[in-house]
Amino acid sequence: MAGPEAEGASKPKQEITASTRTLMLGDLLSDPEGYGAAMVELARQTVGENETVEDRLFSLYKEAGQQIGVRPEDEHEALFEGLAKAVLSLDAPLRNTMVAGKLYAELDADAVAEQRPELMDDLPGELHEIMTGRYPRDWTVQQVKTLLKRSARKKIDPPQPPVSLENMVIAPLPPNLDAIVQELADYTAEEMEELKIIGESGMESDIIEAAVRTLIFLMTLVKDRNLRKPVDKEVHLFSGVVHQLEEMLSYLLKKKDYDLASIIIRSLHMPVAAEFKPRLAEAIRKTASPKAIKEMITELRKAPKGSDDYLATYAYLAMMERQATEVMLDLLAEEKDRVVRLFLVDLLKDLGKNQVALIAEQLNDGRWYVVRNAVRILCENKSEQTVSYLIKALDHENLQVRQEVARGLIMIGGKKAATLLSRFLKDKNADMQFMAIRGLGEISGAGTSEAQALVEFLQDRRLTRKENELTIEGITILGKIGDQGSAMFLERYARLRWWKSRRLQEELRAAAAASTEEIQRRKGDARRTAGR
Amino acid sequence: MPEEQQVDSRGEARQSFFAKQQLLQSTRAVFQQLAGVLKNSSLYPAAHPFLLSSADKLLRQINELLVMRKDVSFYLAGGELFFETNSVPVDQGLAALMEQFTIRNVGGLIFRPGLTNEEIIRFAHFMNNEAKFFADRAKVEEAMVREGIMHIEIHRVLFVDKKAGASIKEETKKATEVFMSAVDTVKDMVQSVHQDKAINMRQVNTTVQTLVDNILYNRDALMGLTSLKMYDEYTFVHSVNVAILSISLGTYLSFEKTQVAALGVAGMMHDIGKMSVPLEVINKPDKLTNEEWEMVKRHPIEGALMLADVPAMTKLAMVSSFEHHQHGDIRGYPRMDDIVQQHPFSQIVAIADAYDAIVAARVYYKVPTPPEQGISIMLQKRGTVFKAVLVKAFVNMIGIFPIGTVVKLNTGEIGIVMHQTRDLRRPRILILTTFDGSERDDPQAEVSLLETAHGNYTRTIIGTIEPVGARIDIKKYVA
Repeated sequence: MAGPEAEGASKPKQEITASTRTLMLGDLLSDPEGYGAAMVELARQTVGENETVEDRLFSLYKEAGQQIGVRPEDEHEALFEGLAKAVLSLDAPLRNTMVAGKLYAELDADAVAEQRPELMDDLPGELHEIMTGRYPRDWTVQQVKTLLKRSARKKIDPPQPPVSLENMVIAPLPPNLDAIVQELADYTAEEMEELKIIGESGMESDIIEAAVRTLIFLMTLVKDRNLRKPVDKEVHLFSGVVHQLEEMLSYLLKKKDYDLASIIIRSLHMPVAAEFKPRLAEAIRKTASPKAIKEMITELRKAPKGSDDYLATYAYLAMMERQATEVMLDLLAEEKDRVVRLFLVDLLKDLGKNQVALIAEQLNDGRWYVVRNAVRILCENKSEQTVSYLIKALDHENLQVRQEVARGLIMIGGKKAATLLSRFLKDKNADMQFMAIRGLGEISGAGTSEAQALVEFLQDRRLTRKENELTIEGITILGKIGDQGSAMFLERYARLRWWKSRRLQEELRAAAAASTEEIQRRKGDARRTAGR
Repeated sequence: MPEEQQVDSRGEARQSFFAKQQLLQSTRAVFQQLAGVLKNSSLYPAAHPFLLSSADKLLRQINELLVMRKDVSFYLAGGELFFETNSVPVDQGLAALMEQFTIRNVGGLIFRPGLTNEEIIRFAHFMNNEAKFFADRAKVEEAMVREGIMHIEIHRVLFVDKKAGASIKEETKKATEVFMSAVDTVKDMVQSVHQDKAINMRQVNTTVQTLVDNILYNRDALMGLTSLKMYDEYTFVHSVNVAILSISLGTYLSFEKTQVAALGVAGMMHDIGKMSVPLEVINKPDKLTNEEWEMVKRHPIEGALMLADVPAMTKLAMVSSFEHHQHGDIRGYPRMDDIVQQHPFSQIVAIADAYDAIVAARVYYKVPTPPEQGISIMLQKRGTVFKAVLVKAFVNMIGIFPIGTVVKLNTGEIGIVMHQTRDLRRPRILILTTFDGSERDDPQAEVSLLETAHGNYTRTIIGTIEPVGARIDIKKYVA
């Protein structure tokens, strides 16, 4: 192949003339470059009045091709190859004109002639797309040879003299021209409105939106089986796309446009080929920086709950669930302002509901308020799994933590939670015991075993004014959750001991009687329900 | 993304296309009303209600225009009526009036604040004087003062046409240099991509900015160059043509300069993805197989991927590269599961791309597609492939007879279209006589088809001539 190195190559002039040019064919095999130079010289010598040197040269090559055609067939390939080499050895401008401007032009014109009826169906059509894609000027000998062969089959057009005024072909104007002009003359109000909208495009917002849309499409289109790009090239291109998305994301976050930012984050979680995954993971890591999340939380606090801004920011944070939860837990631990703490807790209850394990880790924290907050957030997730995590905090030394756990268990409910709650009956703090008793009355799922725990609690109670209040509460709750065994236990309060305070005993007796009655009522109700 | 940030500044130009269209309608109405007053003044005495009523109406219209400006000025030049710098569309009735003015050596009128309807009526009667009365400018001015016409001023005929020849030639030469420099930029860009080097964005931006500046100054000079036959360079020229046509439409629609520049870069880059098509496919000297054609059809994706990797590249270039074949129908590509809503800039680039393909078919393949037929093809695609209103704007900009179109006139003359006017059927043309390009040196050779004589147009196009077949080298006239 003759490349740029052939440019400017100076070859000795061949001894040829117009009348002896057919004798040159043999030189194509031994000295195609010399042949090429001689052809140019010949074209210059023989150029006609109504043609250019390039036109003449093209005619000469056609003629040479036709001469090859009359030579023995077994010589054709070698001679056409020599002819192609001769063309490719020309100086760059002439070579370009010959190959692009003549040989390919002829090919394209023939193609157009073949597909004429469909030409304007697709605009721009297939041929135009190919023609306007021939950027590289690296033609191979084989390609030029093929073009020369097909060109040689065509007749040589003699140079055309200028057309006289009388002989010029006039295409008449279409009959509907006036109607077209009339229609084009003015813009309707709707059209003006459309143009106004179009005129407002090219602004920051629509550029970013269009770019994000395009980049997300591109993420899925990097791989192509036909083009067979090397993997590292594909990774490079993919990385370029992701980089653009990262840039736009950081810009959008600065502009606090969380709607579009959310779309980018979502796109970073799209399924991609294995080789692209590390780049996506890197992008996700970068996008969820604590600084960015803190800024978003600040924004969220400013926006009224339920407002568009709030919802957009919230949606964005929700996208980075785990990272956002981590940052928020850190913030919550350090925050001095109670109002902010409450805001964060509220937020975490929602955003962190799927991050139970992460929040549960906070239960090991040495700071009691961190543990309490974690309990509070965890309890919003009313699952069995949460109850298991709460066991850790059941014996926490801080009363407020234990109270939070009790509150949480009551809220969560269920058999498991009720059982755990009953453990607080043995708490060393009376307030805690009181809370547990009350809780057993409220919690769903409290049954025989919890009633038994309450019975055990009551058994050890002393008859003092100080303790009586809690005992009465226990008896009352036993009425709510106890069974026949509990009723039997309550009978002990019916007997009054003369050596003990009568008033206190009567208080207990009255409470026990009410509870017994409650148990019997429930028993009767249950029987009636079963009877139906 | 600093370039996008700059683009967001809202200026007056943003809505000026809309405002300009409305202004042109108002000014045409004023001129029509003036014609009515002048006609009535020749039929009725000064106190006649018809005349008073038409003068009142004209005064109201002029006063409306005077709200935002210190005077209301009309100029006549080359058969066209201008209000400020805008060419006002005129019909044959108004053209006759303009002819009457021209005969009286009146090249323009200026209406100033303080105008009354009595003054308008006095002026109308004043204009009924014989043409020779207006020959002596000093006498005319004296007479106007004597008549108490203090708020209307008459301008002499402007001989802009007569001196245009030399400067137009100079501008065309400059435009050719700019055009060829842009072609070189595309070549450099292609070479950079080919060698896996970074695209020189400074060069691209400078080139596009130069194109924008030149188009803003003289759109017609560069637009004329888009119809030249340069087959061996067409691959590169096409990108420049699309950039020029896109920029031109952007300026026609009064986009801001930064928007227009972004549009230019998008136009120049739209086909860069074709660099990814294997050489053996794109240079194949035969019809492509379906699989090979699919490779070519991937160029919007490959182009966008390439441009996404160029740091300083405007995002819109990437978007347009990706979307310029998305026509919202089954023929659009690349095929996506979701319908891609083309960005308006992509729509503009797509229209420019398609129009250049039509011109190429005519210029390079000798497909007999007269210019107005090409325009018809574009119009047929309205609302399906292309956004209807953008096609309409594009055709209004490029004209029914685009620059470089060779036309036959009812006078038997042959001409080449050099400029558009407000009337799509009546561009300014250069009358061809020697066919060697020397006509450009003759200042009398360029005429406006809006010119009238005795109330009729002097020249009218009756057909078009395919220049390649007629062996007319239009390069001699537009380059």
